Amino acid sequence: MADDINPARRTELLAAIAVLEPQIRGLHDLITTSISDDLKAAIQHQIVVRERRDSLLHMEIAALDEVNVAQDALLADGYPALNTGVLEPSLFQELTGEESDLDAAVAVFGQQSTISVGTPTFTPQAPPAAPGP
Amino acid sequence: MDMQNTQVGHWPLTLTTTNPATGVVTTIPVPAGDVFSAVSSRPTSLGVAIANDAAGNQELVVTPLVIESDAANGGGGITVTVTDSNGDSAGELAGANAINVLPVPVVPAVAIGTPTFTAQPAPTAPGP
Repeated sequence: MADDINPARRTELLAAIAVLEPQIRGLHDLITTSISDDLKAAIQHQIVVRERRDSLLHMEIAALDEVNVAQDALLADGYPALNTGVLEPSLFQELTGEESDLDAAVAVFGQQSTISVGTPTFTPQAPPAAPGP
Repeated sequence: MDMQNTQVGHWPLTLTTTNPATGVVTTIPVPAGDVFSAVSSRPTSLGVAIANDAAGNQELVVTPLVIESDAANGGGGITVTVTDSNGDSAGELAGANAINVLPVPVVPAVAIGTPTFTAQPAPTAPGP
């Protein structure tokens, strides 16, 4: 198996879980003691908040595990190397012939240009006789 | 733009392409056999033609054919459209570059006419 794709993140998530889960266990113990209903409600609220956080932390760790599995498969496939395809001579000749035909087809076309009228220069002429406009 | 009626204008013609990705405009050589033509929106007042310049490149030649053609006499704003035999996008003299033909301003000259004479006493100073 390859190295963990993000060991620092995994360590951070596990540390958060290590803090959370004793709190959750303790809250579950606490809620069973002889306390008022209001206090039980407050404890139950904290149980819900922390169990939700714990669940999300485990989801991200599971996702990291899946990424590691995918990375293992990619490395097993030879990544990042990817070999050039090799053809027997007759097939390679057929392929290059096709390439030549494609080049010829592309050369049939040219990109449309735009006519640009530049900056004029002037030469003299005799004034016209017609009045205009 | 204004042209005096004693001027003939010569506009260089080029072809450009625009890279659709970058917007960079590049001037490209005019292919051999590509022939330009030009049309004036008021051909009786402004003649247009394609000619070769001194370097052998095709240019637009614009010749005023009337004394005046502008807003003052109901003319002017003459557009010129240049196309080519390859079917490229047309070039134009239009908008701010549409042409008004203006008469050359007449500068008054001092004219000394035919004299008449009156009598006076002979001067006493010897001269010269």
